[in-house]
Amino acid sequence: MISSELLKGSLKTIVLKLLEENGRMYGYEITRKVEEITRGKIMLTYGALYPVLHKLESEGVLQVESENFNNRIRIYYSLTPKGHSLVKEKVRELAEFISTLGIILDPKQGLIYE
Amino acid sequence: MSDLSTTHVDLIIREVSRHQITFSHLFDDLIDHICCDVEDEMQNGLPFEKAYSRVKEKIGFRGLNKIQEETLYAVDTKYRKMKNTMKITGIAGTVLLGFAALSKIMHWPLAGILLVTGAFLLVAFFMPSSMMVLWKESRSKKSLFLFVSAFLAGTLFIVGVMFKVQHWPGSGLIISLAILSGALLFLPAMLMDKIRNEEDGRKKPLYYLGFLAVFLYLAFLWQKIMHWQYFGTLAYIFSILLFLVVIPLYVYQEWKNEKSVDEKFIFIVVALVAILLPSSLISLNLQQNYNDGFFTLADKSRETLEFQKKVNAALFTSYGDSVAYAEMVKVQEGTSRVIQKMEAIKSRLVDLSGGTKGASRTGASMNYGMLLNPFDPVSTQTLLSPGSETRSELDSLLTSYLNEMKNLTGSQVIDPGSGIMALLPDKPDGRDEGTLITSIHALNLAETAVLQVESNGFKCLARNHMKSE
Repeated sequence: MISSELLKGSLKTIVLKLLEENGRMYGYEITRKVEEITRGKIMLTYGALYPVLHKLESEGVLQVESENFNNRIRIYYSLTPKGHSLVKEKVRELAEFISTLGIILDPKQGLIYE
Repeated sequence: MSDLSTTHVDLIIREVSRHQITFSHLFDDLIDHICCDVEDEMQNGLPFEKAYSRVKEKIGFRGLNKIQEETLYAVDTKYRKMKNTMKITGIAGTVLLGFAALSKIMHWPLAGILLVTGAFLLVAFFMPSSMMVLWKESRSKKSLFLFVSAFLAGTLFIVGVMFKVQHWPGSGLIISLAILSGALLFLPAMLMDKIRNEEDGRKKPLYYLGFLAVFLYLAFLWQKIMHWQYFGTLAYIFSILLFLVVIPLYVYQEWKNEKSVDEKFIFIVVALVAILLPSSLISLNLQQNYNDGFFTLADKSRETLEFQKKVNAALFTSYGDSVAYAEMVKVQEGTSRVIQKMEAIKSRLVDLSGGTKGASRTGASMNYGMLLNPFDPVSTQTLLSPGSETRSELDSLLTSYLNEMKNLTGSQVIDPGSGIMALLPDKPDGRDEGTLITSIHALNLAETAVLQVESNGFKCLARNHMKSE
């Protein structure tokens, strides 16, 4: 399992990317999806997910719809037009970060000796 | 997916409601999430109760507030600023006050400045920002009164203590207001809040008892600060006893309900023991030393008085063959009238305050340690305060006595009149006038001063006659 420390900075991007691919999703669905795709390597907790969702909503990146579902209210999150343009930027940023990390961790150039 | 029934959803909603999740649609988010989790567990064949308790264990329901705090912190810039202000000024203010106390004890310089700065930080920044933070977190109109009263009482208390330590005028009034608002506004609001949010009926009586204990403790604190003696240490002992009943019962209830004990709980228990025990021991011990100081002082002043009586008696005898003897007798008669009056007042003070434990009353043999209520203020207020009947009698007696002495001896040397009056209880700036033991001490000093007038009178008369011969 990947530590929450490492996950912290990329959580926004993960959420945005998922919403871009799946349209609208509710909180639990997002955690299950992430778990499923990563085969349990990334587990989002309540405490990590909702602050990020609300933050993105307040920035106008996400919009919410509420629906009655089985005696309770379910909140669906989806991307706003602003969100759609942000996703590409964020994904590019993260990909760049990963490739940069790759350079550092490359045994030929960097920190790991064999 | 097996769906939850309405009853089950309602149960979850009810339990989560208790954590006062009020921010935006976070409450709905969490309810749906928890329900999904439970449904998921039930999918694996668990009954609702098992599934639900497993989910509760996984999330830790105490952490629900934490999620709201983190969400607020991420979204609301104002909240973030408030929270940071609260943390920084809270720590800085407390540390400054700590150093101020240390400086005060060690008599280092800057204690006053440290104290005022620390108190200012707490009152001007910490209190308002923590109120805002709490308000943002709960958003409940019902809690508004609780916050405002806490803010009021806390602010007044810090300001009052600062005034008291700095010896600025008005500290008594401010602390009184703080304790009154604490006892009459904050405590009841707190009690109502606790009772409203507590579903466990067995805990409610404990809250009432705890309320009573704190109430009595505040009453005791108030009388201590105001130097009153209405109920002695009774309220204190009673409140400690109540704490001794309430805390273990509360601990027991908590223990039964929670499977695990969290660190906050342990901290509270340790802190209570660490604060209550030494503070009660120190305050009782200090009280003893403080009382003993007064008794020693009064004993000394009485010894001086008795010594002066002997000196005067010897002086009077030695002038037995003087030409001025007849006038000296008049001096002695006038003096003993004043002395008798003052002794009578002392004796009435003792009686009015409730008397002594043993048989002895006033006079040379009196043991001040035997007084039943050595710090009773009422007797002084009735008999010796300016404006009271006895005091007016004493004042006019003193004035006529001093005039008589002046006429007899024709001398200004013996007129420490204002000096004697100044020894008696006064009411400068409306401060309290004194207690039984301080009044007795004052009367001892005043009597000694009167005896000095007498001895001066003897000497003047003798000298006058030597000159005229």
